[in-house]
Amino acid sequence: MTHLLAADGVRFGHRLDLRLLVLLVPVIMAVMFLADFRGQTTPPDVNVFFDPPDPVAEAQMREQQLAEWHQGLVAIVPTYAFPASLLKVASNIWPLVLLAIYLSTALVAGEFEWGTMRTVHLTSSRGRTLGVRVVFIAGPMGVAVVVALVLGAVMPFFLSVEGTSLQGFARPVSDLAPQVAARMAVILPFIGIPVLMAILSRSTGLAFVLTLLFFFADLMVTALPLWRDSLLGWLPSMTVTGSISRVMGAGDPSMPGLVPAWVSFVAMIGWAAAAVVLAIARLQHTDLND
Amino acid sequence: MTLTIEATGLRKRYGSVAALDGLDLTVEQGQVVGLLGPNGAGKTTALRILLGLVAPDAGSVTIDGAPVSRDWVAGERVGAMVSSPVFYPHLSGADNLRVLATAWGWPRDRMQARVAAALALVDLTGAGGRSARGYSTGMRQRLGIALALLADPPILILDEPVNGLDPAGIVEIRDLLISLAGSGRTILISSHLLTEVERTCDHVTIVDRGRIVASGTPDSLAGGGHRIELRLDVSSAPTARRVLEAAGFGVAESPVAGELWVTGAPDGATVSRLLADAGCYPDELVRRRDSLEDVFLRLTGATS
Repeated sequence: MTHLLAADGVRFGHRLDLRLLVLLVPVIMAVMFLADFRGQTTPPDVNVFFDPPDPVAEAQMREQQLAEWHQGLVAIVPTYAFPASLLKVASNIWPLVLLAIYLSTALVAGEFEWGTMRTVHLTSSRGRTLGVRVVFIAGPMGVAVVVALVLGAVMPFFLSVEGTSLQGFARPVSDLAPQVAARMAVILPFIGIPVLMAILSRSTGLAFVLTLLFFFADLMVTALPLWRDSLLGWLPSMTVTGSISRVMGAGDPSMPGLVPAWVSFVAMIGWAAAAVVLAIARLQHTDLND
Repeated sequence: MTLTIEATGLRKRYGSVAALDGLDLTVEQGQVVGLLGPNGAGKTTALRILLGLVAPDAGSVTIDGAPVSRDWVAGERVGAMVSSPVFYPHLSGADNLRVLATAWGWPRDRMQARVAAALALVDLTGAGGRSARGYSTGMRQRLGIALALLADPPILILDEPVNGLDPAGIVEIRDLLISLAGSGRTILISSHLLTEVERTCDHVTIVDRGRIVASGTPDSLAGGGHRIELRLDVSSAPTARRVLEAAGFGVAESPVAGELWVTGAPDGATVSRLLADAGCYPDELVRRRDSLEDVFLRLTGATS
């Protein structure tokens, strides 16, 4: 397996576009973190005008609104300070999701487009080859995640809120590592399902579109109102997008039928694994004419 | 006798078209077998099935006694190039070879030596560092052959190996194949270039419409058959034809005016005597042995 992984390194390690993407995505995540931070910590423009004009009351109202904003700020600012900043960065996963979909479709469907899938028999079985490719895709994703987390750990030390260092607001976060890990695991369905689409379509572009359509359809099913107040109330937190939302912390725990987050986590991992297993089975039972 | 490649009763349909219709193929160890057939005869489908890329609807394949399926792993024992050569366009020619060598877990020194040797064999040493995306058709073909030869495999399966090569390249690859054949390898070559197969292979199998229509050495396939080629004055040709047909020989007009091809005559002397008796004197009379091309055209033309 290590030889096959190393071979994948030779295959794709030279691709400048992949290297750039893997570095660009964490930078985008860092920019999103900074923009979010600036948006939250920049004092709002409070424009209060009474009719007829009452400068004293207007000033009081402005002060009151700024005080409320300050009160909210006290609760929000610690979430941007290290170590909570890691959780904040890990919550903005959309750039990572897009990277995962692109890598999974390009590195699997590309083999059909180049015709190199026809050489699969020279090195290993089809199932093993695809399994190794999935592991290989996790490599650059891991690099992007680590770079993003490093940026998330470093940035708070260079930020300040109204003249006070951001780290002055730092608070310990309980279960930080499991929470970050759970958010990062959300990427797995965005590897497994695009790999399945790549095997089915044998085209990078088509696989990308099919993946987006799949998630859109899944989202629609998850959002259907008919699940509410029915025996299938658990279903919206067990679909692919539903389980991801639940793992990311969405959902009112008092909502009837809402399953525990760990159940959704297992469902999410199950979806990712099932997609890879289906992709392997499909590849093993398909003719390689192209 | 060791059977290196054995295919039995291969059948494969694509929709209503039967690509293979009960094909049996045996390649013994050390044989260089040419698989001949017109376009669409089923040659490439047969090779894909031999390599496990395509599963047959019926029949079985073994290579060195091991059954071949879709999940069969050829490893370093079988070098192959089926259809067009395939490679990673973003990699150099040498890196394309290194991908395979790395997957096989070769140590660095062996990898470097074999990559250099394979590139040298196909005359790509100077271009090995260049991106394969910019290779010409002939260079791509050479890279495909280099990939097949990288592990110095005892079994080679090559589909149209001289496709896209210029005449000098064809001669080089032919010489390479002859030298590889001389080293005891088992080689199966699919081609529609009859001359190349005749010069390279010690055994020929002719396929048409998914079935084997003839198999044997090039000489045995020609079967000692011959024809007499006559060149006469154009005005004498009708008389000559009438006389020879009256003697029970087959007579056909060649594409050249005044030239007749006579089959069924025991020898040139008999033909010459009959013509002299009728007052016809050919400018030229040649006894020509059937070539593989004649056999091929006769067999595939008869069924096409």
